[in-house]
Amino acid sequence: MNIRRTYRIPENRQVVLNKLIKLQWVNFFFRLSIVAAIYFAMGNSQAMKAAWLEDILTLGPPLAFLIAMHIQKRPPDKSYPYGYHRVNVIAFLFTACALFALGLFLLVDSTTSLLEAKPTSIGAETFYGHTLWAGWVMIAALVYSAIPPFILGRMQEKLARHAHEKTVMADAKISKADWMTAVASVIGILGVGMGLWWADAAAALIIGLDVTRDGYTNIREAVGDLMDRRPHSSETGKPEELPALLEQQLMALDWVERASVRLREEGNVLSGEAFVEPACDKDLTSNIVQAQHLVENTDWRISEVVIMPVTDLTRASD
Amino acid sequence: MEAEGRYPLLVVILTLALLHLGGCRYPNDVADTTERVTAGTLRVGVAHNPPWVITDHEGTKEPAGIEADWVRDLAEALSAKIEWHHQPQLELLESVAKGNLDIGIAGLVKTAQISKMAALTRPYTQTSHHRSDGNIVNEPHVLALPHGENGWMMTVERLLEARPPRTDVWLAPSEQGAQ
Repeated sequence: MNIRRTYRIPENRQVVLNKLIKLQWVNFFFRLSIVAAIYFAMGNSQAMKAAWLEDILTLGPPLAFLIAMHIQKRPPDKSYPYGYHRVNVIAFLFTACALFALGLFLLVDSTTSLLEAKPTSIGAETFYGHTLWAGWVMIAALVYSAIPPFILGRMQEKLARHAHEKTVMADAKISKADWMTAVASVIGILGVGMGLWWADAAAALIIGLDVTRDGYTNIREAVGDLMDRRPHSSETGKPEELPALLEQQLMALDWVERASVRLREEGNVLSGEAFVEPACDKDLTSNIVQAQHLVENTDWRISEVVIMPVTDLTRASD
Repeated sequence: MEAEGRYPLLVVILTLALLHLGGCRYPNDVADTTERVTAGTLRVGVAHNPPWVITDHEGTKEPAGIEADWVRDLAEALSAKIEWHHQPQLELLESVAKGNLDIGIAGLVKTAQISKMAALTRPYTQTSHHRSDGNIVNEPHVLALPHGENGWMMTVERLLEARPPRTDVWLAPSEQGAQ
């Protein structure tokens, strides 16, 4: 059996990846502390409950990323001749589904309480001998919960862009949604304090819409990867120009008449096939080996491109 | 992200909040209970449950007991007249939750079920008794308030703290739990 060569990540990218792994550990423990903080301040508030459930769910992505990172290091073997890179996509899909389900839950929950029209009650709390409205305690906890995702989200986005790491990129979006959620909840609680009974549930509803939308986008992205969709930029979400670039490079070779390339994403790496129409068959085997070398060194993300000579490219690519 | 476009409602609420914070009571009530009761009438729901609330069946006599005494303190602090409404506990909780009564007293013990029915104060005292199986059961005592009246809730909570109900008058020392 032919087992794929082990993909070797460039050293400078590995450095970024190691930073990402560290960052996601920090992220995980920050989120864990937020789950604890919100739990103790939760009380009766709908928006607070929504924020708490979302915070629990956000523990998933960093964990999934860390596990996937551990597994994907394994070299291709007899059981998995293509390697373990796709484990990233599985973790990503799992997270996206959970996120989507939570979004729907929040939507149903907050809509129900809006229709029920039962005003939210937030009582008193005593802190070191001072009795104050528990809403202030909740707001303090929410503000605390907004700061780490605000900072971490920015760091994640920057690093993930370097490493072409979609799971962390999506997790950065979750961080962003996270602090926005907290801000929305603060506004909801301020509204309740003003006697706007619906403010709390309305804030939860907006959060629900946001989470659902995030979940939907992530599911689409993950399913796209599993369906061997053409590579998309994790920055812009638009198709990559890379296949066209490879075609140009191949056609620039003397012996190549025409070339056509298709690529797919396997987690963090790309693989695919290049169909070439040789101008002449002389030294074809060594030419192909050279061409493969050229193509695979064009971009650090490429793990394997198989070069297939064809007689008539117009028919092969139809 | 196009966040500014997606949160118009929140911006409206925030603006209202800022306009409001200037003059008004905070937290405020949905149905203005605090304003209506102050120097007005306090509608109290009572259900017989000694020694917390003691009423006669006809409802002709003034209610007595730990919580009834305390409600008189509350009315005095707010310069309000008391209007007693005699009701069985379940109906009483429903009336309070709907806001037809301003406060419900019935020697209520905080449970998950009661917490859902009305807004509850924090426990002002806790009693405990020995069950037949030898276990000790703690009973946190609470008062029932309408949903969403957060200003009213704070008014009641502040008085509960400043002038706690006189449990020592009605309970034997052995019955009095930790505050």
